[in-house]
Amino acid sequence: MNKPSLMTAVMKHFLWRVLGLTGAYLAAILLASMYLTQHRPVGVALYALSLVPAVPVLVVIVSVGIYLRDEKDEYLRWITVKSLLWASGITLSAATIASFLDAVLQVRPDPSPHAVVAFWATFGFLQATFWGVFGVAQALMHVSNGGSDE
Amino acid sequence: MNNRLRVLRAECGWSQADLAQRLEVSRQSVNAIETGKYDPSLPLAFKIAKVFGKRIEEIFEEDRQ
Repeated sequence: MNKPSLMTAVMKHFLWRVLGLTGAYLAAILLASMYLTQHRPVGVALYALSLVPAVPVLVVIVSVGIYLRDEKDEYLRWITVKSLLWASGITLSAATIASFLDAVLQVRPDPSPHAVVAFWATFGFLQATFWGVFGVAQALMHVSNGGSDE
Repeated sequence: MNNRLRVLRAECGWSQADLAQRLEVSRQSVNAIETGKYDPSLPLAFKIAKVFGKRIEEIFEEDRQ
């Protein structure tokens, strides 16, 4: 029988995948905007380049699905589902309010990337809250120890 | 739902980690069940009962208002 760790193997894989994809998302935004500014592509190239930062976000959504499918610990799965539902509700509410304000006040700060960031920030905050800040601190120490509980 | 998990675990001299190991769940799960933050599914409740050699109703009981 394996010694129980603070995080399941599935959760560890999920977290590393999300960390990598977050880096890919930031790099994609930076590189795409640099290329757009310097080369000013048109047509299909412009559309393709505009969609590049969306790819890591879509892969993160797929990763969440894979995590929920593979996670055997029902309590951790329940926390993730609860966080996803609350984050969806909060982000949709904020986006609805922002879009109606935008329709009246004509303030347009390109809302789509902000909605993505707001969703995952809310999700992370809720995960930490539901899991307990102490649990998160222990989990981070666990990861920094290379997965060892000693 | 109330449960006697903490008492039964103490009687066996097990830590939360020991029980989590036997149930093949995380320590957080054991803690959440013990503190009443989470009610386990029926399969997990049966597994808990089996680990302690008791019936489910000897471990879990309804809230009494």
